[in-house]
Amino acid sequence: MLVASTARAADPVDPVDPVVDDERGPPPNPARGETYDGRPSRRPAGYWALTPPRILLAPFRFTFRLLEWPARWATEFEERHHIGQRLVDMSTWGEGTIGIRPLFTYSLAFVPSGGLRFFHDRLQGRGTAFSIWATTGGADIVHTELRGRPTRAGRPVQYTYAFAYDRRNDYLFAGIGNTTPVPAGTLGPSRYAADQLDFFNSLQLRLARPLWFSVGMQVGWRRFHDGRFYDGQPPITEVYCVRVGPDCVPGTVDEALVPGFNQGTQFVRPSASLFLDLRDDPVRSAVGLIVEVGADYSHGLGADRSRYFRVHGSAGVPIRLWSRAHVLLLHVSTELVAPLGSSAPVPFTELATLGGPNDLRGFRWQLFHGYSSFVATAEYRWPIWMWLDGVVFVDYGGVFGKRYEGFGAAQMQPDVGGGFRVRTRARFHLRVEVAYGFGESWRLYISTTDWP
Amino acid sequence: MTSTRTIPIPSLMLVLVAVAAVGCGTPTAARRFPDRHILWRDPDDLASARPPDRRNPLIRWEGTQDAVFRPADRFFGLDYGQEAVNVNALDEVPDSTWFVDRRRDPTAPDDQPRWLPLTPEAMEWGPVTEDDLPVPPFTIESGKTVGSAQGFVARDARGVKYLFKLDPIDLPQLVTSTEVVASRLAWACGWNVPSNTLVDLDPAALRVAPDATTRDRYDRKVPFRAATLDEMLRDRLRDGHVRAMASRWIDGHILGWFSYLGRDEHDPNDRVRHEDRRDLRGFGVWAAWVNNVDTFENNTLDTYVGRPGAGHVVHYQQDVGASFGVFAAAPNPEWMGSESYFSPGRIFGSLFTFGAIPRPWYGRDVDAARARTLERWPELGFFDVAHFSPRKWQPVVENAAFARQTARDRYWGAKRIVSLTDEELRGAIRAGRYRPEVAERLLAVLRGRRDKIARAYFTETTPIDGLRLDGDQLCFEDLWIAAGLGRGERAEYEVREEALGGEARFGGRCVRLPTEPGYRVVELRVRRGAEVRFGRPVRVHFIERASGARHIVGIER
Repeated sequence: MLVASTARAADPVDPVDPVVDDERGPPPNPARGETYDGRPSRRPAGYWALTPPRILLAPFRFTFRLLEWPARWATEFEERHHIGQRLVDMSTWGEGTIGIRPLFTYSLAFVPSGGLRFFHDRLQGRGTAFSIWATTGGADIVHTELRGRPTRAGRPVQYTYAFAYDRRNDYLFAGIGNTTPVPAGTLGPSRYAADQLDFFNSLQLRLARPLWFSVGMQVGWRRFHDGRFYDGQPPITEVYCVRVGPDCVPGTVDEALVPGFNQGTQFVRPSASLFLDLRDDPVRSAVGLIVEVGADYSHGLGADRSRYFRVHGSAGVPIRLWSRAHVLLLHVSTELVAPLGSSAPVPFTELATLGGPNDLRGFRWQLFHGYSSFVATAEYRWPIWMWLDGVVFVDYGGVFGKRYEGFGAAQMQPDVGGGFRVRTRARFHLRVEVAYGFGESWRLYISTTDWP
Repeated sequence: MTSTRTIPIPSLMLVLVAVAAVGCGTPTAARRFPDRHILWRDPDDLASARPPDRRNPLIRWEGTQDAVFRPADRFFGLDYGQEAVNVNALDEVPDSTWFVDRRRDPTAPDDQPRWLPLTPEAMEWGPVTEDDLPVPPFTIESGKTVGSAQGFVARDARGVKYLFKLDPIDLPQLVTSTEVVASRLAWACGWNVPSNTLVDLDPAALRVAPDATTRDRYDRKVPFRAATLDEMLRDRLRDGHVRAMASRWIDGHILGWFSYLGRDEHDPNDRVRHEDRRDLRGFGVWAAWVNNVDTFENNTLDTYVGRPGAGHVVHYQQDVGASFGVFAAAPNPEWMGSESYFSPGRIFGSLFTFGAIPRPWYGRDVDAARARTLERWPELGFFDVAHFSPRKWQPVVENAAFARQTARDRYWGAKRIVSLTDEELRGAIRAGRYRPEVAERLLAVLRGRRDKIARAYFTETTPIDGLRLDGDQLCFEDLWIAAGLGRGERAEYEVREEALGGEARFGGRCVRLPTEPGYRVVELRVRRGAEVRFGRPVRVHFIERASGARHIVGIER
């Protein structure tokens, strides 16, 4: 039994006369315009209150509706004519083992370049790798490279070889040592041109599952010329020239300031390195450790009397934060170049360099040249979309003298930045990063190639 | 000096939306239901002219539209909170050309419906009749040209047309068994699906018609040759047979897909905008349950049955094969089911919070669970309970009807799923002819996901249902308890009738109501376990005659 008590206020019932007839009417008939529950149709409460915001939002709504027409046309045109499929078919054969892919790289303050990469992963047998690519940004910006691995992936012994030719006339040289901000009395950045030819081969041995030992041999050839005026920087002959009093001797570069510039360099370079990779995934690592240490010896050939050792090392630790996809990556790397005894100075391009997309990202590519370098990076990576990661980072590093002479905070530069990486499970497809170097300015990098 | 301040437009809009939201939340006066019988059959099968065949959008545009333009239009149009239209006075969906409640007891009074279980045999057969079973030999007329699974279209010995779908070479049963079982579950819950059966094809019983064609990757018509068939069957032979799913060609004149947004203006029976149909909104709850992520419109189908001018349109969910852990004839990626291809809100949310807003597909545990699941039960793809969240579940692109679900729609959808017993589920699973451990796994996952759905949607709407007037008592079922969710938990109910100024609390499922002829409204609420407050009310409108006879005229949730 319903017990009377002090009741809370309930919604009032519409005051309508009680029903007295005994006959129920037929069910509502929506075909005649009646509602399904038989009650008069009514807008929901609050409907009209939404009218003002609807009016305010109407221009956006209208804009989207306008955009829908060209978007539909373009999407259906693409699908009807199978343009994407045709492009893939035109550029890929052999179940994806042979194909052509576009390449594009851009770094603010340098000439952008684009090109194509051809790969044929059956050419030397199933599971092998072969690729050749060429990019250009004009007649004086050319890079071609051929790379191959005739051994099958996964084998404990691997052999790789590479030929590369590179030509640019917008390389940056800003002196040797810490050059940002431009120290008083130094000359500042300039542009030079270079032609570079390299042959490299390497044998890698898997000592244990994560540990590889590698020996290699490189033969290199470099010739340098005056650069172009680009992005506000003059050609190198206007800055690092032979001076008579305050005036430049036209068309000259002072060998004392830019060692190896006038005669170039050619060398043979044996090398050895150890590589330990304990990461859980090469593309989306969340835990583990990666360490590489290596050394090479360069022996100048012909007129090039330079002889020097180079030692490099790097270590990276991905740290899983509150999920596998939120990762803090800590990374340090260092390089030391040590000329031998009374040999000629080390050619400037073979010194340790910093700046650009791989290390000090807030600074122009190869802005710093020195006999030693050190850079530390902290990078936070998180997923934005299934195929898109966001990154924010801080880099801190600099170049120093022989045997880390002058090593210290005074010689190091910080930068901060962030960006996006489009990736699949297997590799990166596009990287876009913006960085700000303190004492420098904003940098922008866009690349469709893998970035180590 | 006079200073003027300009109110920025976004701020102004926020204020207006807030005002509107307050307006939406204002309690409204209970509206009376008329003293009429309850509508249980929507008259949408009236004789009508055959609508023209549709020029459906191409699939990529459809995806782009569903992912970008329709959500944007809805957002800028503030199209939120509208209740479904095709709902009768008892908050149920009447049978129609879209939906048929196969469990409702036709002998029950129209104001006090009852639902009967389906037998395991009925579940195993689903929509399939003896007559639907294909009879070899088969003559192939064309290749299967739509969708990812390989297959062909053939006529059987009687001339009846079938679509045959095959499994991926290395994943037997992934496509075929999934679609057979999922279509039975959809059928049991009320939606129209084709008659799908598993068959073991003897290659000797297949012949290719001389004029058989298929389409190449550029959609060009090319001959379907015996060599094409040989290549298709070669690596799929097991004991001299190939497992396939035979889907009987749907009867009638095929019109094309239906859209989840708007209505077909050429069909006078199509009176309710599709996004406002509860049977389509509720289909989203079913889709979440079985993880049917591919609710693109090309998986729907309208057909005109009957003579031209004397027939009507029937609406099908013609392909529910992207269920369990399958998408595009392959195991689905770990993000499917919890993310759509393009979710601007989630993307910007993640971007601007540096990933602080959690996304269910993050984390190595998801990868590991997927790998483990695929290793042990490859027939099911990645389909589990642990990574399922009913409220966060999403199809691969936004579905206009699912996106407009209200709590009442979700409750209705959840009811359909929760009403399926374990025996019924076993019956449907039997049709998939799985290994015993796979069948048990599928049952466990379906049960687990069913319970999660019940917990999610039986809390936002009070699950008091099955209301009946028994003499002077009002009795009901508590679906929370019926679903096995309230074990060891005390449920206390409150009944109130404002007009009589009464309120009572009780523990049973029946309450006596005093005699008082006229139009009456009783409110029922429930409080469970340690809950302090009673939940939202269910309002039962009934009429008591002078003779003492009572009948329910409406229920409000």
